Amino acid sequence: MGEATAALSKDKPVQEPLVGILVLNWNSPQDTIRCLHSIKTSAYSNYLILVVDNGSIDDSVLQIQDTFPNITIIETEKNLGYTGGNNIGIQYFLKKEIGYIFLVNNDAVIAPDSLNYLLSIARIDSRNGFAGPKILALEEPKMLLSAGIYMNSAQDPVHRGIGEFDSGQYDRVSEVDALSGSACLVSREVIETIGMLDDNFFLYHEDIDWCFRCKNAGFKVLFVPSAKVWHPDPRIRDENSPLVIYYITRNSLLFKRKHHLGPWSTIRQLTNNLKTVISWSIKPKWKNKSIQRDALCNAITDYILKRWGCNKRFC
Amino acid sequence: MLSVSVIIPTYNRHKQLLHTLKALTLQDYFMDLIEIIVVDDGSSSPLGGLVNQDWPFNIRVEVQNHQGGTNAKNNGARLASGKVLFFLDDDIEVSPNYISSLAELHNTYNDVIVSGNLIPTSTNKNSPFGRIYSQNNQQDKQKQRITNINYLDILGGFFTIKKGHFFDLGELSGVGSGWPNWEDVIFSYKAYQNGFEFLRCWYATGYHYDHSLSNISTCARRWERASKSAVLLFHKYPDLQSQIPMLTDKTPIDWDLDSPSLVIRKGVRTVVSTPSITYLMEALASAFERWYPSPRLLRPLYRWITGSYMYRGFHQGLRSYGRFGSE
Repeated sequence: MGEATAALSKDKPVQEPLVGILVLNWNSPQDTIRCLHSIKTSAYSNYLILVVDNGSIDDSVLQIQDTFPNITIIETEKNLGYTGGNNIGIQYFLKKEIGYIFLVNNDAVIAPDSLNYLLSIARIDSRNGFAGPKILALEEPKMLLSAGIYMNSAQDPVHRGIGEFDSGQYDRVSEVDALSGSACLVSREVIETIGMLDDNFFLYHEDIDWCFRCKNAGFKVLFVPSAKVWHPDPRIRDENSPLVIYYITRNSLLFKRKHHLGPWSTIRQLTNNLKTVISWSIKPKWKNKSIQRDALCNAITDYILKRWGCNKRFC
Repeated sequence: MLSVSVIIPTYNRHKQLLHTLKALTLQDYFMDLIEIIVVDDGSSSPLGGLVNQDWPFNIRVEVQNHQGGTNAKNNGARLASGKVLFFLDDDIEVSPNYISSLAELHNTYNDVIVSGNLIPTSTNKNSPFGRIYSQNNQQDKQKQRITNINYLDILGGFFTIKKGHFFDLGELSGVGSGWPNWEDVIFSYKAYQNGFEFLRCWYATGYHYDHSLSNISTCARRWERASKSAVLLFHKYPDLQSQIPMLTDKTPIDWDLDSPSLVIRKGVRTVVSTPSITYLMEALASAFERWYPSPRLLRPLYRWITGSYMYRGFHQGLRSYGRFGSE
């Protein structure tokens, strides 16, 4: 009883918890600076910003330091991927007295009141492990990119509402299967319980894996519609990138294996991938797709040979 | 819009109750239509501090002497002012759309008992049993659907019914005093006989932070107790004998009525449930948990062990409460 009443007692002053905002930069200083500007306008005051420079080969660090001289920047020697870079930042924050970590992609733009909304929901209960905002397209500010992630019947993650016009159809706080890693708030308790991002993923699907681990540990993953973040539409940017094809294919297979989603979903995906490989190899229409086809083949081989983490060819 | 009353019986689980109430503050239903009735079944320390909080909904606490959960639910239902009764155990945390989805169903249909999708969740992160058991239920394929279910799938701590119907059916009544007294099966059986429909709304979820999921032996012991008191249930309602699937192959062989395949199943169950084999299986399970915690191997082992405990419990019950059906 003691603990419960203590948590409820009205006399206790309500303090805003310290939030660690983690931005990962890799060869895109202009995006990072735009993101940091949007964070600076935030209505929430009690936060720390950390920029992890993931082994950029340009003058990113100098440019960011010129614009924001007071921001802490950690430089890694090489590209550690989304997982490695963020894990370094999380380790840094765990040493400090922070209550929540806000992971945000460096190409995203945050609405000024987002953090307040996310925290107001997350702080209601210690079981609320993750809180994620509504993600809209930067190119078209009323188009939804993600209102949380659901697993479809084939056990593939699907962004709810992707490509739809946002007319308030998802404006309800709801529990979702996972959240997009492009912007999400995690509580310290969750990280201490389930650990950090899984380095085997390197890039893509690590956020979904994290949310699943969080749910398995008895925490909740909540979507908060009043918090908004704008992000470039990945469907335009990544359509033909061999790097994206490689990591998405391999990691979705790895994800299914790790969380025991059943052999059928794996077999179905492998069959679809093989169909794509064959089509890209023999149809004259796709003769310019050889790089993408090789990436797909690499992904399947690496899955079978259990080669996780970074692949030197796609770094 | 229907007004709803959420009835939460509780006994000495203040910390978990706080989580349950906090999950209810996220509901996307009109907060002034929600009434929470916490029935304190004689906890050793008072609940006072919980009510004095700034909850967005109306909340009241009713204290009774220690009479068991069934009475607590009945008392709560009598005090309720809402049109729909939501029975909720104090260790279940519901998703934000829980009340709105189920209230909508009650608005559409009459003569129904509606249940959400209950997901067992283990708070013990170190136990492979809890992890495997929760993983098993994490993904379901019927996520966006509403389906008809069997009346036996209604759980006493997680169902909703219109208030009028609840009293028409004559409240909850069990076979014993404490848990397990099968009040949910008896109640839904009465409802079934009165032509009620049973619905499950798969997207309205509740997370059951069940303390018995911490390891296989606590879980199996629970089923043992439930099976033991099932004998009392069968004494009172002989029609239910063949209905409960978890006990079909645990009852003694009836040579006149049972089909040959059922006789074989019961025979196999008798053999595999002997104490020595159960002990061996438990040792095997703990060895696997330690060295090779593969869900594919452990899941059938867990089923086997729980099955054996149910068999043992049921036969204990037969010895202490007497056989049935022989006269």
